Amino acid sequence: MPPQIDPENLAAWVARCRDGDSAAFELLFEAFRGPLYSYLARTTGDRHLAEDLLQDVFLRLIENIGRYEESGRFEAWIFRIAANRVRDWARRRTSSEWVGSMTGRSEDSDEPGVLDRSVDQPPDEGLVRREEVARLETAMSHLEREEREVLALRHYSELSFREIAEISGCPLGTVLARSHRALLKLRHELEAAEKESEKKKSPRKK
Amino acid sequence: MGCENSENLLLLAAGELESPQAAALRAHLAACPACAAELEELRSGLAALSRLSELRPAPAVERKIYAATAGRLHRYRLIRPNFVRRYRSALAVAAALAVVFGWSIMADLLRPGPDAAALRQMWTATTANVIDSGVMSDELADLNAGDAWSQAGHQVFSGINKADLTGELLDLRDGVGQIEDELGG
Repeated sequence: MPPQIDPENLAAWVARCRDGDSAAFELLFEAFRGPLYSYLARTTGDRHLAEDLLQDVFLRLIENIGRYEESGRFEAWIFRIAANRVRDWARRRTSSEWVGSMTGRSEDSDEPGVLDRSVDQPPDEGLVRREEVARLETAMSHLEREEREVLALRHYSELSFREIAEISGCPLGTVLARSHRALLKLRHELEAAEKESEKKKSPRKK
Repeated sequence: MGCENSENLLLLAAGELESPQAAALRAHLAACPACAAELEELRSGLAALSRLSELRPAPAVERKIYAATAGRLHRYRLIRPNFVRRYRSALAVAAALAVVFGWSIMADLLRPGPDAAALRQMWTATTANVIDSGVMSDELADLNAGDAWSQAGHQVFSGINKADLTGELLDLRDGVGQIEDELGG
């Protein structure tokens, strides 16, 4: 869920945060922790890693907010920081044989795994809805990391594809091609999972 | 499919296609069932994506993250103006030196060595990484885990970090453009 913040409020919070106003920082933290964490967790498939990255993103926000120029959207700026953290993580993973045991964290698996869902579902969600969400999360977890990333960025940041291209440093064509492929995969996987679920539900009749 | 409209179909599905192009594509869709079906699939995919729930860290973890970050706010407010300017300069110097020192390492590792274009690319990547990061020692420590170039950068930066960043180190920044020109041939 992308942040629904009045742009004027946001600009005021950013200005106050830049002046060291901790109440303004708290407002920014509350507004962006969910979308940023969701993006990081969906992309990496690892909640603990996402927590570390989230902390890193907010530290960098504090360190760099003095350099934020208001010509661009704050959402794009903060998600660019997060995307850079993800890029660093991905780069470290690819050179993990070089890093070896230095990290102390096992990062050599390509399997993102399905995130623990139980934490996030409102208690009043119906069984059908929960099943749908579970299928969606499973389908997401089966995408390639870069596909998950672009979809998560799109969904949680609510940035346009052009803005996503800009903050991720990729040509727009690459972002569109990746998103297109990911969406079709997601769609097909969901369709297959729905059929499978229907098959299981309907009792065998003679 | 086969019409090569995939990118525009996605932009249309997402409501991001400019009007003239959107009108042209809609006209095409009326006559092309394959593209129309692809558009529906993309819309359906986007609709599914919109149902993806928001995740949150556990409350205790969230409090810990907040405490660890908010506590730094005052510190950065106090030191920000000169701190950033000085570090940016130091970074540019560190990155430039990383390229120079890194080159000697790489030249040994890779024969024949990279040409001027490759060097320029490495130079750009190194400086972009370091400067984009906005923060130094942690970032360089990360980079250090990456490759020989970054290792050299880290070593160089460690030296710089211990030195007085003002004065002649800042003068080195002026040498950066020169180095780049030379690398670019």
